[in-house]
Amino acid sequence: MNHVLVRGRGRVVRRGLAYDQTGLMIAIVVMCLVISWKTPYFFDTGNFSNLGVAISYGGIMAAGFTLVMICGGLDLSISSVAALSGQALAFGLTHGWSTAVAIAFALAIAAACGAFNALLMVGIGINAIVGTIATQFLFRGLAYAWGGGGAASTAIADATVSNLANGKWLGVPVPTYIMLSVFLAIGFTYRFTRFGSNVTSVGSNRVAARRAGIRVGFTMGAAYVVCSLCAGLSGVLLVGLNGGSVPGAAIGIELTVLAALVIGGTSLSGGTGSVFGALLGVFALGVLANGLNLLGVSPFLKVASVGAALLLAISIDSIRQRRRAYRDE
Amino acid sequence: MSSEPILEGRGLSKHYGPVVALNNVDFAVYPGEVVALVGDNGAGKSTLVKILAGAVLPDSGTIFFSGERAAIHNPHDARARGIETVYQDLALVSARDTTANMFLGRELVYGGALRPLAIERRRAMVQFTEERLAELGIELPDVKGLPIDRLSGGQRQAVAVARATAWATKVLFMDEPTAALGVQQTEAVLELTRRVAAKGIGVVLITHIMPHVMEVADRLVVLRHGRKVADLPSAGVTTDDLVRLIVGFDPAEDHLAERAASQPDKIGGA
Repeated sequence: MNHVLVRGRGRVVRRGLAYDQTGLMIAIVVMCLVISWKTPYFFDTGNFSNLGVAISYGGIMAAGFTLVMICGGLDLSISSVAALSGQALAFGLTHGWSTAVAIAFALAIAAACGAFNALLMVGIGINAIVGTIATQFLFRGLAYAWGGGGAASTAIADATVSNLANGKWLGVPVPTYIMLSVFLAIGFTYRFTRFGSNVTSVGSNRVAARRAGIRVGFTMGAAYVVCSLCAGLSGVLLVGLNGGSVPGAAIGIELTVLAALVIGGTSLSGGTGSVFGALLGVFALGVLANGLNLLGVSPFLKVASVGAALLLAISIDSIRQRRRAYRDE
Repeated sequence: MSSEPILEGRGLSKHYGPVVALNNVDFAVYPGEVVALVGDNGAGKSTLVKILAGAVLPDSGTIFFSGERAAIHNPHDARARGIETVYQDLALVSARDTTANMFLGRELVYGGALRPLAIERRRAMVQFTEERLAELGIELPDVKGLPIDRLSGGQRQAVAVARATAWATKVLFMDEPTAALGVQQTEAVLELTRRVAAKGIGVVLITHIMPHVMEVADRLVVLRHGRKVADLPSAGVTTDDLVRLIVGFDPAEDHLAERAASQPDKIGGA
């Protein structure tokens, strides 16, 4: 057949704009330069170690959250899942269970939370923003109730749990290794497996995915469970860091995580995203918070900075969306 | 052309509330033929195709595949039998590249076919995609890494057609496949339907463009208000005949005469 059915290369040049992380990398470098110019403490192994620990909890959550977002969902309950799994760990350890069993129990509770989210958001089809805020309150309330009520924390002196959170290997904090492993595992799954492909397909065009025989419900449900498992893992590390289970742990972290994802190029409306970008976003927000700390900025302004970063990120996302809409015309 | 239909629906009916989309329709596709399914808007063409492709369940009626009763309850049942569809709204995943769309839901993987965590064989998938597109004379900027939403409407249409033709082994439904295409691409798609049919695949073409019908169809099936009103070989049928069958009367005579009689002012005043 001689017909040339379709031709065109014009827009290839611009393809990089939407998903590219170059801008984010430059922003990180600029931030580092500015902070180290203002304070001598930034480029310090002790500070980097602090930074590594600080970003690990949110980072592990971010890895799982990426899958849910790309699927077209949202999970704002992760902070409460972390607290609840911390309470589960404390319950196990104070009842004389072995560390491994207690951690497995904590992760199982987290997975159950994810399955419950999946049932509501995917099975029933509740709007994910409202639905996961509701489960955030639900899980948080259960976390408070589990510890005997109130904000009382349960002291945990388990050596393994403590080492997971506070230990170092080759000068690098153990939580950083855990975070990087989680990112590697989820990034690999997303990039190279059929499940990863299905995640994007479901998030981009659910109808087309269903027509193509992809199990839409299973794919989205699995994403919610993986996301909650990550949150549960963060919860276990938080117990080690805090020296005990705090029912009010990690409050509000879901918005920081969300900001990190969107800054890293994951779309709020699903279908596009990057696990590596999420890691960069986590790092960028970590550097920002760390810099504000070192510069002695008021903690209240730090809270405001997270809000500002989130607004900036979703503005960028909206601009990307509009570009895409124009292009479709 | 064989004497036994590869896919056949008998007594198919479908209601949407009070609206009768399809009323007791028999429809058959034979291997190696191009059937044009024509009718006015709302005549039931898309409903009929969706039923036979497993996207919609009929209220009543039976479907036969290769002469045997077949349970086609979802798109997967149809696809497993080599029945493919180019939907009007394309059914592409816009955030993913051409290769991913080509293999949507049937990715090549290492190891077991059903394990969700199996690793995809991207290189083989890209190669297959490039081969199929080259075979159809379709040129795209890049089949890997470039999301489909960066392609033009015509290019996306081409991908949808290429995907369906690549996987159809028995029946290919095309619901207005040339809707977004220019003249040259339209010709290419029409030529493609003939080549697919020549491989022994039954092709069902839905279109509103009568010259296309006359150009490629072996047989014509006309639907009107959910009923089948004609099923005849295309040889010897003129476009005028066809329009008459679609609208139910001769538009050139009856219609104008009728209106002229009842509303003389409007006709005369225009």
